[in-house]
Formats: sequence, C-alpha cells, structure tokens
Amino acid sequence: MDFLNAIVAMLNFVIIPASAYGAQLALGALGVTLIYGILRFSNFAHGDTMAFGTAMTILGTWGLQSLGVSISPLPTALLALPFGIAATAALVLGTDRAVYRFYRKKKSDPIILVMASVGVMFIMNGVTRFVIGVGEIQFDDGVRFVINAREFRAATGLAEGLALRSTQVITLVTAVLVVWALFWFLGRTRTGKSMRAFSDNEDLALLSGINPERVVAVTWILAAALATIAGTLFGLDKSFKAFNYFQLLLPIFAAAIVGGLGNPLGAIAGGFVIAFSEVAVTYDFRKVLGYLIPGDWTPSGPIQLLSTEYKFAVSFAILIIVLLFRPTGIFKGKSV
Amino acid sequence: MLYREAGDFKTTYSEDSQTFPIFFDRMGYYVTLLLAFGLVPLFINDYWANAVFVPFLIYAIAAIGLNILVGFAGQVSLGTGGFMAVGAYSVYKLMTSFPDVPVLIHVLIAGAITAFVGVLFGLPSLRIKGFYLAVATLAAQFFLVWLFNKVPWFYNYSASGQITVPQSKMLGFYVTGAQTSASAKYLFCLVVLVFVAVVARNLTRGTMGRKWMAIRDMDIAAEIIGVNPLNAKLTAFAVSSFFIGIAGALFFAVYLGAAEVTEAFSIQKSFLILFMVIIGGLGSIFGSFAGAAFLVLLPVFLKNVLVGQLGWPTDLAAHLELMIVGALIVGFLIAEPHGMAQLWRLAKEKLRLWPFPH
Repeated sequence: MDFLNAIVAMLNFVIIPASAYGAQLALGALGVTLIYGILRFSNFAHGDTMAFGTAMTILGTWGLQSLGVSISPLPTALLALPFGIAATAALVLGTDRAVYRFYRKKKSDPIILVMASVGVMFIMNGVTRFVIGVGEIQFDDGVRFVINAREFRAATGLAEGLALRSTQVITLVTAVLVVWALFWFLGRTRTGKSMRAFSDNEDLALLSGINPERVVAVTWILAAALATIAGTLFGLDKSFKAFNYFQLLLPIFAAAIVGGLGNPLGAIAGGFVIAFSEVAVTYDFRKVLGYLIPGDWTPSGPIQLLSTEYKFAVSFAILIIVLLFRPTGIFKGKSV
Repeated sequence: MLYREAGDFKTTYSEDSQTFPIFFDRMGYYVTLLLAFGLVPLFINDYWANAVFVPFLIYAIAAIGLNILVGFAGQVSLGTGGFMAVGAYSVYKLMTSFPDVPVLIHVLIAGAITAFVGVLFGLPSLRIKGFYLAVATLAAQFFLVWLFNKVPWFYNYSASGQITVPQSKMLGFYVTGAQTSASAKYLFCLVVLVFVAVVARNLTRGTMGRKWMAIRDMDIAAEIIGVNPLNAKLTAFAVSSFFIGIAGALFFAVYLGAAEVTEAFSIQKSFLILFMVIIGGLGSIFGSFAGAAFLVLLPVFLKNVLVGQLGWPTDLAAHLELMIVGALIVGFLIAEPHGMAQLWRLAKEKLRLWPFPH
C-alpha cells in the first residue's frame, strides 16, 4: 500500500504537472524551431507572440461568453482558438512583411535578425499591454477537475489523493493532436515537404522551383498557430499575465536548443526534458520517501535538490551544459 | 570654410594621429568639456541632475563598455544588467568594509572585480558564438541577479534585502548619500566618464582595438594573421566589464543611493543598454554617447508630452514608450545599421564639402 501511495504522490506532484508543462514548452519550442529551420534565426519575439495570441483568444472568449455560447464542460477558450490564431497569424505576417523580409532580401547576419526580433518583441509586448493590460486574468470557465483528490481517496482507500485538473488533460490531448497534425503536415503534404526541403538546403530548394515567400508565409502561420495554442494552454493551466510569457521564452529557448535547433522531434523531447528536470529538481521528495522507507528512518528536513527559486537556474544549467559539450543538441540540429 | 583639414599642417606624428585631427572638431571638443565642467555645475538642480544628467553620464559609461564588447569585438552580450549588479554590490561591500578609503578608488576596484567576473563568464565565448553566446550571457544575467538576491552576505544581512549606500566625502564634498548636492553627483560622474571615454577611445584605436575588430570581422582570418582569439576575446570581456562595473557602481552609489537587485539590475537594463549601443552606433565611442542621450531623453520627453501636455494616463504612456523603442530598434536596423554615429559621420562629410559640393 505504501508503495502505491508513493507512486500516487509522485504522479500527483511530479509527473502530471511536469507533463502538462512539458507539453506547453514543447509546443512553444516547436514554433521557435520551425522559424529557426526555415528563416535561420532565433525569434526572441516568440514569447510575446504567445502572449498576443492568448490575449486575442481571451478577447474571443469574452465575446463568445457575452453571446452565451459555451461548450461546457470544456473551457470556451478552445472555441475561441481559431479567432486567436487568425489574428496572430495576421500580426506575424504583417511583421514579416514590414521587418524580416527586408533582412531576408539583404541576406543579413542571423544576429542582426535576432536583434530585430528583440525590437519586434518590444512592439508586440506594447501591443499586448494596450489590448489587454498588465493584470492577471483567469479565463478558464470549464470544469476544474477530472479526478478530485478527495474522491480519489474515497474510491481507492489510499492515504494519498490524486488530483487531475481538466486543463492538464486538455493540454496533453491538444498537444498530442497538434503535434500529430504538424508531423502529418510536414511529412505528407506537398507544402510540408517543400518546407522540409527548404530547411535542408535552401539553394537546392529554390532550384527545384519552390516558392520561398510561400514557404516563409506558411512557416509564420504555423508558428503563430503553435504559439497561440501553447499560450492559451499555458494561460488556461496557470493564468494569463503578459509578463509571464516573456519569462516563458527562456525555458522555451532552452528546450529548443537542448533538443537541437531546427529539429521538430528535438523540440518536443527538449520541452519534456526541461519541464521534468525543472519540476523534479525543485520537488520536495520527503513525502514520497516517507512511504518507501520505514517510519523512523524518514528524514526530517526537506529532500529537495534545489529550492523552488532555482527553477530558472535549472533550465539554464542544462542549456549551458548542452551548449558547451554538445552544441547541436540531443537530436542533431543545426549548430551556428 | 570652417570645417576643413586643408591648411591645418601637422609637423609631428603625434599631431597627425590625434583623436580630433580637424581644428574645428578639436575646438568643439574643448568647448564641450569646458561647458560640461564649468557651466553646467553652476546651474544644475536636483530635477535636471536626477532626470537627465546623472543617468546620461552613467548610461554613457555602460554603453561605452558594452560597445567595446558588441561593437568592437563582436561578442553579443545580454548580461549587462548582471555585470552592473556586480559593480554595485562590490562597491557596496567595499564601502562598508573600508569606509575611510575615497569612494573613487572603491569604484575603480569594483570595476576590476567586475572585469574578473566578466572574464569568467566570457570563457564560453571561446567555444560558442552569436546567438548561443547571447543565451549564455543571458544565463549570466539571471544567475548573477539570483546570486545577489539569495546570498545575504552580499547585502550585509540587511532585513529588506536592499543595499543602501553609506555617506562618504571626497575633497570635502559629499559624493554619496542623502546630503550629496546635485553638482557633486554630476561632477563625480563626469570625471569618471571622461576618464572612461579617453581610455576607451585610445584602446580602440590601438593594437588592442584592432585585434578586437579583426576578431569581429572574421575570426578565422584574424587567427591566421596572428591574433590570439583567446587573448582578444577575454581582454574585450575584461575591459568591457570593467567599464560596465564602474557604471553599475556609480548607478548604485551616486544615482540610486539604495537598490534592490531584481528591480535595479534586471534584464530590462541589459536590453536598454544594448539598445543604446544599437541605436547609437555599433563600434563607435561617439555612438555610445548619442545612444545613451537618446534613450535617457526619450522617456523624459514622452512623459512630459503625453502625460503632461496631452493628459494621458501614465501606464498608457509607458506602453507606448515600449512600442516606440521597439520600432526605433527595427527602424534603425533597417534604415541605418550603423546608428546615429553614422548619421553624424555623414553630416560631417557633407560639412567638409559645404558650401561647394565639388
């Protein structure tokens, strides 16, 4: 019984939250990695694209709510997603036209593009704040729990409760669907194949008649869709606050680099690596150990590798180690 | 007819290779120095010192430091805020441990400590470049801020976690603490800035600066003609961090007086100084001044116009400021990648031919 309790505690506090967080990171990192693969620069504005997409989705949610539309027990935000994606796609296509295309034509250094994307990040940040403000917004109106801790305890007779929030389930299901759709698109459709060709060898792709502007436009739309979905899922799971999305940029970059920039599979793996290490390293394992070790041996202090404030330090430590010893990432991505 | 090298004959090598070879430029430089040292301190009051002059002087020092790293040596750094924090906390520890030593010496030692830390964090630059280096220095930023927040020794175990500058005098005047007069703050920073600018200017046009630029332009070619990349990159990190550390020390000791690391030296500060360097002009000492002046004056100007004249709410004006700064970055990178320094250079070229364009 103690062993089961330990497993449940582990599931409850480490595996489920880390999986949901990892799925959000993976979706974000997929966007970064796609942009990197096709346009060959790291988009600093991705975090704020996520924030903008989420803000648009929230506006859509409010609109739907005022019309009385809802898809209870699921949150209304899921219904508003297409609207958010469309608005975000329009925004990023606009910035591409106004900013990035100029540098693409000039074949500027990637680092110039990175700096330009920092400028774009500031603009998007300002736009998001204009649209929705800086406050914290809860917009999850679905059912809160799939499995409630108390009910779980009553049903199984275990001492340890298992709480499964519906947003976590939605996150995982949506992430799986989105990733499946993305890989189907990249692997099976003509446009997807042309994108992969463009990413592998730009000159050869141009020679074989692939239209670069079209590939770039599709990439931006995909990135906008991924960013909006990732941002909305993150917002449903936690809550929406413009500044949090800027901070999310760092673990997302870490995930994309750890997995190997430009490699979609790597981005997903990287997202989960970062999320699991962040949660596992900062989790207090005393409770789990308490079930496994006989009573009086249980240590009195917390069994944490690092305290919770180190969360950021974890992703950066992983990042630095990977950069120094395997700059192409776990899966072979591109090195600069 | 004013701005010509014609008729200005040089008879020695040192005359020929001086910083301002054109007579008019030289006079302009001396007049600026005279105004800055002689006239401004007489008229400066607390508002002007705190809103415009002192931040401008301090940011100019930081921008010169970052420009050496990004503009001359080509190593992108996002850790400026963290390095400024190193300067600030070193000067705090030094001032509280050795209260009798003049604060100027502490500021210089704080710069040296920052230089050491900068070299430490510059080590990865030998293996990674470009964007990856930017991320690594970003890690430095977060690590340093976290460190100063978490280890109580750095803030002398004060309950609030803040550091507060003790009062100190130099030449009979208060230069730090609550009783400091506006002109003392201003002059103290100005002296340091002039020192930093002269050193930076002469370093960048000497052997060391040429090595940095060679590494920036093409590191493999530089290595082949005998520039040691290890040396060049680490000296760039050291010199740059030295200046940034000085700026951080002044920012805390003279300007703020009391600081809390997550607020005063956050990632925003790193971006701000990077923007000063980009807008001002990469690889130009004058550009650092121009960028610092521009980004110090812009918020003051916007605040006065939008909030003061048009009566907008303050938060709306702050959002607009973000957007304007972002748009400026993008605009400058598209229209004039060499920044305001290049505009200045073009104006001078025109002036040399004026009024006869042929």
